[in-house]
Amino acid sequence: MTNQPTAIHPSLVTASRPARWRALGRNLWRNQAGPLGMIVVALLIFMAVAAPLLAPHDPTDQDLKLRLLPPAWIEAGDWAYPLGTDHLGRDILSRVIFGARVSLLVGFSSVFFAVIIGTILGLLAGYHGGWLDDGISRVIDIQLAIPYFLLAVALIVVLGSSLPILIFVLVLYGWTVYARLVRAQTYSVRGRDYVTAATAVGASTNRLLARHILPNMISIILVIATLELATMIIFEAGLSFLGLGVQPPTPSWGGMLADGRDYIAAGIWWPSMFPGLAITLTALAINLAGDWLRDLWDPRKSQ
Amino acid sequence: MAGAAGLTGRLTPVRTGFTGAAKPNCYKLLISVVVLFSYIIRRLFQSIFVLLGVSLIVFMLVQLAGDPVLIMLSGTGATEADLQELRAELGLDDPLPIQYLRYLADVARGDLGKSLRSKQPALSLVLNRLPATAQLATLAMLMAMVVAVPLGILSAVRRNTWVDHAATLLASLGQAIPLYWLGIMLVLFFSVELRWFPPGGSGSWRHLVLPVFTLGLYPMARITRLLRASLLDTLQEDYTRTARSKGLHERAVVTKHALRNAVLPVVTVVGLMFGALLGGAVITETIFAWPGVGSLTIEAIQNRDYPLVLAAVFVLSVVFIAINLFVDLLYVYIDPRIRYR
Repeated sequence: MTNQPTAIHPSLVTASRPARWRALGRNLWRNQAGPLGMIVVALLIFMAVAAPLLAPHDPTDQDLKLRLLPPAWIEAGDWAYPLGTDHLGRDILSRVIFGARVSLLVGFSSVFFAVIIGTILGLLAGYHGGWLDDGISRVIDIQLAIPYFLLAVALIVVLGSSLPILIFVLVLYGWTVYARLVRAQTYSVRGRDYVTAATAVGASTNRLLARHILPNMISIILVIATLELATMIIFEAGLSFLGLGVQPPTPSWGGMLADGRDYIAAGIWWPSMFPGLAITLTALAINLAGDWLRDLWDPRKSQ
Repeated sequence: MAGAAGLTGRLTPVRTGFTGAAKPNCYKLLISVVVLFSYIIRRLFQSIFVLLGVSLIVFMLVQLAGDPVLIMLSGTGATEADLQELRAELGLDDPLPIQYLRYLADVARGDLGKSLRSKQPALSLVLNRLPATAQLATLAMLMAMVVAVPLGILSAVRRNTWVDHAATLLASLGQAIPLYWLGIMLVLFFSVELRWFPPGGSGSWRHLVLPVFTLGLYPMARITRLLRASLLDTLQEDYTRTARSKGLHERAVVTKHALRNAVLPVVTVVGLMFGALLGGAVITETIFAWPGVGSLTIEAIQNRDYPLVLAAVFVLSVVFIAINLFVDLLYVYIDPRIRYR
């Protein structure tokens, strides 16, 4: 650009020094935060899978002589327990590492099933219309009218708490997002020329939906699913925090928070600090990755 | 709405047929009143329908919760014959649809069953706690808006400046921090360490600060981002360009033209967000021992007091439906298109 004095790029004329710094900062934030989020998510998945290799201790090993040991960098801390121990003398670092398993397992599987169920019902409702559409839309209306966290609480109280029920409750919450999205999109492309053309050459309904309508929505579904993953993880930890999630002694971030909460009044912060940080970091990384994917795939490149 | 649109279409030629100004206006007014009423009535029916759906769900949960006769007579040494007798007496051996209709009749009379523990009507127990939850949720939403609206506008108008980046960072964090952790950390710093605010309970404004902030941070972050995105969209619209090109001051362009339109989707989401807020209140109230419906629900869960849990779910759902009905009716005022559709 500088080799062509006749065509000076406008930004070179107007960009003052601070502006260039700002542009750099913007690029870093816009372009680095997303991939960074992706990397953090990948590391978290690795951490969950390789938990037995990474954790210095068995997450359920109790040692009451070592209870409420502070993190290692504080006096009276022990480097054998880098993040300290909880009220039963269990290693907090190991529990945070193993806790990723529950969060990610519940998060990923609930998003997965919610996407499948929501997409199928959304396609059916949007393509066929009529009573099917009415029925599905009304169910969605009703569900959106209930404060879902409360319904989830009630469901778990009634059904009992276990991993499958937890996933079931989250899928029941999550499917409406995709159903609404896919329904609206299907409805809007139903009359497009390429759909009419596919029908004209004799494509079956299933083929039409799977080969011509669905592929157009894959990217947006993936973006929403990514962002929903964070919601699901926060949701699950919230239920665990209330004692309605995965039952002890299985380590879960929400359950650890609930245990640690009792010791806050005494100024013992580490049992609740680290699992909370883990949830926040996970949600933040997933959201950054999701926003990034959206910007990448959104043709308008807005926001 | 379709009928109303047809009405408009048929009357349009009549309007153009008049040269005077008074009569067409009269028709226009009539049409807009009809459209308005059909909208309101349709919306009311929709709410009633949704309410029926909620009652059906709660009824199914009651069924899933197990045989109430067993719960009532557990530990009394009742025989199978006694159980049968009580079932017949309570109508529990009727077909489910009949039971559901009876349940609906009970609900309509304000009878949501009795608490298993205190033996008091579940509805009045919940309603006693409702004002505290309403106070908490309203203040949290208010705080969220007071911060988010200026912040959202500022970051859209000063797009890609440090204000925008700071707001984006804040919003990203606000959406990622789970409120149960936020609440605990606030107690740690502001109650245990600094001793500025009490860690829980109620009674003074100082008790409100931490729970309101805990509950309000997420909607604050969401509204900031939403308003920013929405305003960025409307700032690119033709009408905004028109307003600019006719020489309006930038402030007037933003507030009178772009913002008024940008606010519409935000209002809808604020209504829907109340649902999350009422759910979040359950956790917030538990952390701060706030005497609302949420902490009542958790107590009821710990006591396995199913009727009380379900009554709380039902009441909060009704509150949520009412809020969304209110928001949709509010649209009549803030979105003139509904009046003139």
